[in-house]
Amino acid sequence: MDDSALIEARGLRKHFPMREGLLRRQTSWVRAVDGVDLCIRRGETVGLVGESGCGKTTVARCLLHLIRPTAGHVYYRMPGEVRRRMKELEHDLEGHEEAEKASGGHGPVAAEMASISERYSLEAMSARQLRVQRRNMQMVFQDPYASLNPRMLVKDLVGEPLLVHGMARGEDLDARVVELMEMVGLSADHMYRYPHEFSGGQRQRIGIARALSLRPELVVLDEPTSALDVSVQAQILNMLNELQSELHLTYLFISHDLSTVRYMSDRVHVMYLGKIVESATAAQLFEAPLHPYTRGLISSIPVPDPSRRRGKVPLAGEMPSPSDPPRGCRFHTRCKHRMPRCEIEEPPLIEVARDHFLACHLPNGTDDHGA
Amino acid sequence: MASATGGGRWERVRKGMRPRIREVRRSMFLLRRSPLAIVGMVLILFVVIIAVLAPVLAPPLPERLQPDPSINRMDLQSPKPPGSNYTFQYLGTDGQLRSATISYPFGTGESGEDIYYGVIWGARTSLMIAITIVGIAALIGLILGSIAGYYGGVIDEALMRVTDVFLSIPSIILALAIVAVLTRSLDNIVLAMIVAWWPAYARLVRGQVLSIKESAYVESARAIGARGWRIIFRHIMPNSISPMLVAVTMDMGMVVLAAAGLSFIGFSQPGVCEWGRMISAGSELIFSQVLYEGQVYNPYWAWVFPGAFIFTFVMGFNLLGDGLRDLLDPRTRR
Repeated sequence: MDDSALIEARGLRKHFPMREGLLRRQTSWVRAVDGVDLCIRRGETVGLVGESGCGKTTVARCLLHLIRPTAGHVYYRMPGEVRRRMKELEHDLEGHEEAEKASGGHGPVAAEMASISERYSLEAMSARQLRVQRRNMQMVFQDPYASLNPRMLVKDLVGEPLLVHGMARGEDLDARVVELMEMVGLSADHMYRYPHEFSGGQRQRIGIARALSLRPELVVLDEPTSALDVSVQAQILNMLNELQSELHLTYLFISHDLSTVRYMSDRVHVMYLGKIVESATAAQLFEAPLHPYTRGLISSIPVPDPSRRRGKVPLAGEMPSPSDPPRGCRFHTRCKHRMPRCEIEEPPLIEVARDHFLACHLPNGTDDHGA
Repeated sequence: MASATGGGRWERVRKGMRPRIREVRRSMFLLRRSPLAIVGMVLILFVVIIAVLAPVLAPPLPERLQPDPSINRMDLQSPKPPGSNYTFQYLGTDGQLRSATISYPFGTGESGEDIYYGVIWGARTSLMIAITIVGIAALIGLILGSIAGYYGGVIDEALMRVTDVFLSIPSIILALAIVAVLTRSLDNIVLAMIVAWWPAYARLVRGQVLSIKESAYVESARAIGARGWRIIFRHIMPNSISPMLVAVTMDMGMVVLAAAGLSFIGFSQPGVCEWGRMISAGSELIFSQVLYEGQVYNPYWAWVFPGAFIFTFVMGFNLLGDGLRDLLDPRTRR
């Protein structure tokens, strides 16, 4: 089952240079994304949660290659056997680090890795190939007020992708646009209007129609409802769910709102300071969170029942700056289970239960559920 | 739904135009609420009407066309027909300074030239100067500024250092130097002013492009796989044009003022209907008294009329520019 990855990121890193002073000298790096592995299978919804500024959106932009990652690869539609082979190679590479280094990174293992990347990674694509590839992977943006060109008619906004890829023109294009608009719950009368004539929810529907016009396989939903009213949020989320089953879409659902992530996702990754700290199926993650950060996030979901007192594990303090992340475990500055080891050694992301990955030195994270 | 799809090509074009017309109407409505902008538009309209109707308002009279010793021989041998260029032959050069009469409504200058004729045809000269200089400079600025802003890196550095060089020299001084090297003529003034004016536009556009390039809708255009030129022309330019529009309107007046300045200090060729040159000619008479038909006059008409027209022209574009600035300010709209 794990073989049917639609898109997979390995060791994704994005560091932004910080420039200061008169000469704009580069002084330090903001490590927005610092080594993220992400695998999205065909037809599922993967949730990505974390506080603002933890690098969720940067992951999305790197995944679609809207910005070039500093390091790492994004593989698209890599066959299962190739994927297994690559994992073997990665394992070999770790074991034979010395030998590979001696050959200057051109050993047989590295060479085979390179040839796999050449075939399946987005980095290896030319600008033209990447543009064509964009038919398969689309994005719905966070802010429906900023992501629609204010000087274009809705008809042109929704039809632009089809025009760009030469998939329709003239009356054919208009017919396709009407179809798309009706699919997202807008009427054909709305075609000849400007975005500013619509409400936030309607604008987001336009954004969704635009993203779906190319019939993509993967849609990255970057906080698609965070700018909307709660009632409108529900409508949009339900529509996205319906469209997913109708059009066999694969979603990466990014949000800081845990309730919506739980509602939408099959699997959930929790991000903190540019790294994934825990990932599991949605049910598992919300029922039995292991990482102290995940537990903190979940207990901060408001419960609409004053008589029910949950064991609160509020998150204290603020997220440190990604330009100067803490040594060791990145969460140790805010963790109440901090051990001396946490300040020195960074915990790797390991599988602690079936399909449940955790980056924490405590053997099972925080075992004291409901404390 | 058939109404939205059917109807053929013309129907689709018509439907596409409707919201655009609505937007223009809305803009006009907002503009109408700014009285100063209306005044500006009226002043501009006044000058434009004069320029268009010049052959009617001040028809060239062949009997008045007398050789002026200050016009060089070349010009006389191939006199440019009125309307073909912004340089026109100056009529009425009998050396007689007159006060206003029926045949010379604004009087005549020192060498007997008809001030009325010069002022009317000068409207054409000024409009053509303004449109040519601002139009070409803005076009160059738009293209180079967009390229520099969008592509960044080495291209940006190279283009911006070039504009730095131009901007480090005051534009009037630069234009002056260029005309001084070339021959003195209105054409060369126009050329020099284009050279001096475009870097400011390139800077303005680049700044706009730099901010709009980072906007979410440009990222959205890249996400759908749009090419660079499409992003520049369809997404960035339409959204970065408003400050340009204000600058262009304001500069229409400024450019005429600057060109008049260059003419005034003597860089225009003689015999041209150009307000700055006419003021220059009239300025020699400011403190003089002339005896004409038994009476003593101060021939104020030689510089007041061209001066009033320059004022009207510059004021008109400045007021409209101010109005547009208020109108196009994104904070006051939507």
